[in-house]
Amino acid sequence: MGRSKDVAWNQCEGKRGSGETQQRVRHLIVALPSCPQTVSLGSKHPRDDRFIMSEAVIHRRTVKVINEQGLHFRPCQLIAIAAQQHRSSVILSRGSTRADAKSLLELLTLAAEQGTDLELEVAGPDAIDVLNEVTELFSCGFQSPPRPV
Amino acid sequence: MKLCDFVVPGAIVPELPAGNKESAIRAMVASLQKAGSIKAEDEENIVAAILKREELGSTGIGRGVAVPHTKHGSTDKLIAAIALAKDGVDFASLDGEPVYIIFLLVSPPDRPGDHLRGLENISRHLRNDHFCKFLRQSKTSEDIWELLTEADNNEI
Repeated sequence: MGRSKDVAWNQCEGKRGSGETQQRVRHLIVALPSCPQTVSLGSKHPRDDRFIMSEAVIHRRTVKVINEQGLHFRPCQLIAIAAQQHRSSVILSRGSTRADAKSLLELLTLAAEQGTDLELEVAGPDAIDVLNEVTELFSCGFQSPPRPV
Repeated sequence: MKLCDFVVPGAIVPELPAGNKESAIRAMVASLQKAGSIKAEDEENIVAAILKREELGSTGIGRGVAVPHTKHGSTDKLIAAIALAKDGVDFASLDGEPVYIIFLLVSPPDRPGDHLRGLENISRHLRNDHFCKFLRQSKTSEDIWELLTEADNNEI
C-alpha cells in the first residue's frame, strides 16, 4: 500500500506537547477525592498561586442523557462548542472512557444512549459557568439553547 | 461493532472527482445505490436528508475528516460509504480546513444505538494518526478495505 510510517510517526511526535498538558489535568482530577476542593500546590511564585489554585478546584456533576437519540453528532457538537468558549478544562466520562469535551471526536467515542449517566468534571477560572452551561444542554435534551448563566 | 460490519465494500470511493460538498455526498450515496444497499428510488431523498442535516451544522469535524449522515427508513441496518478526496473538499469544517476523508452513514431511525456505535467506532479510529495517514495514502478500494480490516483487528 506504500504507507509512509515514518511520516506518520513524525506527525505524532509533533502533537505530543498538547497531550501532556491534557494528561496533567487528568492526573489532577484522578488524584483528588470528592469536590469541589481547593488544593495548594505550593508554587514558589506567589503570583502563580491564583491560577494554580483555580486549576485545582474540580467541580463534578452527574448528567443524564435524556434525549431519545442519545449523544449523537449534534449534541456532541453543541457540547464542544460550549466547552470551547471557556478557558476551563471540561471532561465527560462514561465509566473508564474519558473525553475532552472540547473535542468533538473524543465526545463521539462516549456512544452514550438515552438514560446513560455521565460524569462531568470541570476545572478552571470559569468552571461554574461552563458547568451550568453544559448541564443545561443535557437538561433540555439539546433541544434549545441554554439560558444565560 | 467493527468497521467492516457496516462499511459497504462496494461503496468505497478511493478518488472522488473534484467538486464540492454536495457533489461529494451525491457520489457517495450513488455508490451505496450501485452496491445494492439502497434502492434507486430512495437515492435522491437520502441525498436531500443528508444535505438538510448539514444545514444544522457541518459534519466536518477537523483533521481533514467529515462524517455526513442521516437516519432514513430505507435501510434496516447501519450502512456506510467511504470516500477520499485527494484535492480536498470545502465542507465548512469547524477548523476551516478542507476535507480529505469522508465517512457517510445512513442508519434506520428506530436503532439509535447502532448509529451511536457506528459514530463511536469511526471516531475512535480517526483519533489514530496512523489510521488517518494510511487511509489518505490508500489508492484503491482494496487498499482501504485491507486497512479497515487491520483497524478492526487493532493492527495499526
